[in-house]
Amino acid sequence: MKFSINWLKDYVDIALSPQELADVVLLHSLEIEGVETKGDDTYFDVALLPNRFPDAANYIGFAREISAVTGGDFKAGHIFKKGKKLNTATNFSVRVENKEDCARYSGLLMPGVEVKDSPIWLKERLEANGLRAINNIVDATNYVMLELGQPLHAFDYEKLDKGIIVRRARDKEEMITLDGREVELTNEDVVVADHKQILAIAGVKGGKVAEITGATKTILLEAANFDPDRVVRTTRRIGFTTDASQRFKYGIDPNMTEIALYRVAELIQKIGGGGMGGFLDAYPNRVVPKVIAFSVKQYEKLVGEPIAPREAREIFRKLRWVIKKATKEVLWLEVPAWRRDVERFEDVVEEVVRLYGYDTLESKTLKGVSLHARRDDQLHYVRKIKERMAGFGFDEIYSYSFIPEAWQEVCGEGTLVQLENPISTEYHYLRPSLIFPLFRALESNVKFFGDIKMFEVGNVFSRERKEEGIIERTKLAGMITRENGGDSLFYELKGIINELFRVCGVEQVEYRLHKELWHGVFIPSKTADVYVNGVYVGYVGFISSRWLGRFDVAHDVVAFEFDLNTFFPLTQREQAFIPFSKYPEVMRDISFVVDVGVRIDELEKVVYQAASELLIDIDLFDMFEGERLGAGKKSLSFHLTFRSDNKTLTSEEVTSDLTKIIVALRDRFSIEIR
Amino acid sequence: MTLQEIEQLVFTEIGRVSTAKELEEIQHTYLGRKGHLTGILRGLSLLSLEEKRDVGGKANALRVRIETALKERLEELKDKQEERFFDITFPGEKIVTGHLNPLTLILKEIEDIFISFGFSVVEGPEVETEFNNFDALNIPANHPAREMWDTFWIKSQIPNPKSQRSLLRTHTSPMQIRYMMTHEPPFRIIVPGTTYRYEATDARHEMQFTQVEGLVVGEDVTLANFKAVIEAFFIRLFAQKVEIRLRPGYFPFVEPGVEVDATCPRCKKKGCELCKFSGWLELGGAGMVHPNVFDAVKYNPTEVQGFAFGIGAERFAMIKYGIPDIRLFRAGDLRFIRQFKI
Repeated sequence: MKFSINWLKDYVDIALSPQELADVVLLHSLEIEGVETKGDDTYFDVALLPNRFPDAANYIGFAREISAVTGGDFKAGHIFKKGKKLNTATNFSVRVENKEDCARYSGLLMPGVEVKDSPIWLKERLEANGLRAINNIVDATNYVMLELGQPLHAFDYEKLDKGIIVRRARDKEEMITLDGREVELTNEDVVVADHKQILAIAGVKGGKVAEITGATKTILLEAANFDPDRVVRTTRRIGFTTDASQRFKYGIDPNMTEIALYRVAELIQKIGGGGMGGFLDAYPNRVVPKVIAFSVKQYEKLVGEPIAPREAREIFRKLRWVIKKATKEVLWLEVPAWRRDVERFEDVVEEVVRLYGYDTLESKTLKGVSLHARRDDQLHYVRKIKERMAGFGFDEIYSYSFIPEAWQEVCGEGTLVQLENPISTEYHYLRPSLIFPLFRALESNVKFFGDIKMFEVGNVFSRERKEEGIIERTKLAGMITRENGGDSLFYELKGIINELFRVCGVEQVEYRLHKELWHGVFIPSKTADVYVNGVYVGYVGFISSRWLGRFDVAHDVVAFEFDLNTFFPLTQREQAFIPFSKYPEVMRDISFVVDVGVRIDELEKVVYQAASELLIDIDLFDMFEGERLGAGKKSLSFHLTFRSDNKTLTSEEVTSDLTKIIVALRDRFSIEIR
Repeated sequence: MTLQEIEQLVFTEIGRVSTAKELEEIQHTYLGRKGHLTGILRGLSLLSLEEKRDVGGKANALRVRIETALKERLEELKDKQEERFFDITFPGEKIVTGHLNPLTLILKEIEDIFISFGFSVVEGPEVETEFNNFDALNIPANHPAREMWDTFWIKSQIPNPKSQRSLLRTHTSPMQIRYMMTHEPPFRIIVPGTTYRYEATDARHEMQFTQVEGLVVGEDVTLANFKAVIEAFFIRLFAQKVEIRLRPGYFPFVEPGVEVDATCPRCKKKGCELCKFSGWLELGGAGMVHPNVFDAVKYNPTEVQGFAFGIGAERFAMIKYGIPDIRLFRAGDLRFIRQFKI
């Protein structure tokens, strides 16, 4: 809210310069978002959050706050002192049907007013605060709303029928607002009506029927305390808010109706004449001021620094709070009704510590060591995996958790998690896989880079069909592409995956035929499902050119995704030394020609089965196809490594194994040794 | 050849050669099986004992001298060979390593600092219940404070669900609830994690960003303790002396609640673009855990107390690395990511 310093000076003495004042208010009270000088005045833009809106989003309330933090004299105290009460009006009544809808409804009759233009000073103040001047009566109500935070409304008394009833609207009951909007209401909306029709939407907007006009002679001023929830719900339903509804939303002190009515009546008498005709008040449940005990011991326990009772008393004096009773250590405080946010001891602590000054609070080191402090294992592991991936040449991206609506065809809509309020069709569903956002990154990067390796670790979301529960998993996914990458891309990525698994202590990795997961995204025959110790952890494969076409990617792309929640329990986090063999390894090479369709893992399986336990490693080091070999044939060369833990191997022992291997391969795959 | 002749010739020859091959030839000529000196040594048997002793001694001494000279000359030749032209400015082989996102880098720094303070690092889910994200944090339905968090709601599969609505967490604070429901004080935790706000993005606002929540609960954890912890944290993170300023703030799940400012590490309080010429940066929110939050997790508020805080990871990365636009973190742009190498 905007505050004029000159106007504030009506209610509080300000000795500081605007910038000095802004600094003090910022440190002890409220956030000043801007200081702007215009002409001979300076304006503060003050951020008012829900806790301080009720008491400080008005000139007098903010002036009271300035007085508390600067010690400047508060000059508006007399406004809150109740003067002599007017007689209750007799020929007109006020009734509230549900007291939950309206804690208090007060009215003041003023006969003999003259409706005309406001004086210049009033117009200027309203306009400086963003309000349009209308006529002296309406302007006075707006002015006092800015002063005291209590919304006010003026009706043309001559147009009212018998009395005021605060009631629920009937379903589909209609009314026309002052600004000409036709509004249809429901039984959920509270209205101010007379015995014939609706006069105003309670707490939101007045209606045309009892509008103040140039001919108005007698007015009924309204100051009410409507239920915040009801007001908010009505504004949501009818689709607009007003200054008044915003104030009701945060709640108002019910004492203010009366104070504001006398204040506005006085002003109207000055600028429009008229007399005070009678006071009306429906106030079923009076608010009782809260009394909170403030113990200096408890304060020290929470804040970590003592406060002298004398100092605490001084702070409450500045706040204009009343001390009802006091012992050496405890003050019983009557919390003013305007401070609706102060409900308990801790709230009082905040008042004391902020006025005393957070800057004077001395830092004190936390006591004791925390022996059970530990880092989440998986989090720690994820960090290691990220560092490894960077070591393998991958760049790490973060993407949004949202995917476009149009992608549901490939994901299968049933398992996707949908948002109630997506920000756009581009960010429509929660990602069921990290693969999808990676394509977006790919699309933007292929314009600049031919050689891309990138990865992401993040959460993905899905749900079982028809079931409520949302499944959230942490995944690792990555992609590589390169100009003329070809088949070798797959093997390069496979090598990286194997090495990543090895350094995670995973021994048994298997690549099996792929079961299609995302419709049309991968090439099924060039994709593998990956199993660790027999457990499915994810997949790796080539992206189909049809899918890549969507992203203007012309080169081959291989991608993978693993479920870290599944993978993590399969990893080893402890390691131990294993004594190495004292005896040398013997290496033999074997080259042969075999049918192209024979898979390497089939060959390796047969080799291991045929050999004794002396064979410790098989390593494919060469492969080629060519006319020389004949159609449908390939040549393969392996290093075979033999070793014993308890003796030096003889040539005969190794040859014997090699012979068995060759025989087995011949029997099974009809190989031809080269 | 006589010993004298050998002695006169051989050392000159050794001095003249320029290749190892030539040296080998000299060795062969004099010390080889049919070499000149070998011949003399072989002929010793024909001489008298006295001559044997005289000539043999001299011949052997000469052999040792020749061998030494050959070895030295060989070393010299090797040295010379190593001295040939070599271009140290020729480019090195390219080793390609990847780059971690600056968000990962800043989180690592933040986590490591708090770990050194004895904090545990824990994580929670991004899809949360309305209860954990709001109600249990003293932000009941219909409270105007809820408007402080613009929320992405998850669409329910059931038309009128009786169970709690789900949402994308608007802060990491719901993990306070999850953690306290399953652990007993005293403890110190931080919770790094992804959070969401339903709002338009610009250079300073994101719909998806990263928070680090802190929570310390015990019998006698005070606001003064918080000030010490956050001060030490900033000094470590920015690797320089910074001042801390607490001022009144409002978050319904803490009371008293504070905003945490630090002196601008770029201009050192003098005023610059980064701090909008105020000398101070707003770096987080904090406060003493509200008793209603302890009530929600079945802790006894008269027995325990503590502080909670929340800081934005992107904001720290932007300050520390001079990143001008928060949207860069999730743009997946390798031109950005490849700049961060340390």
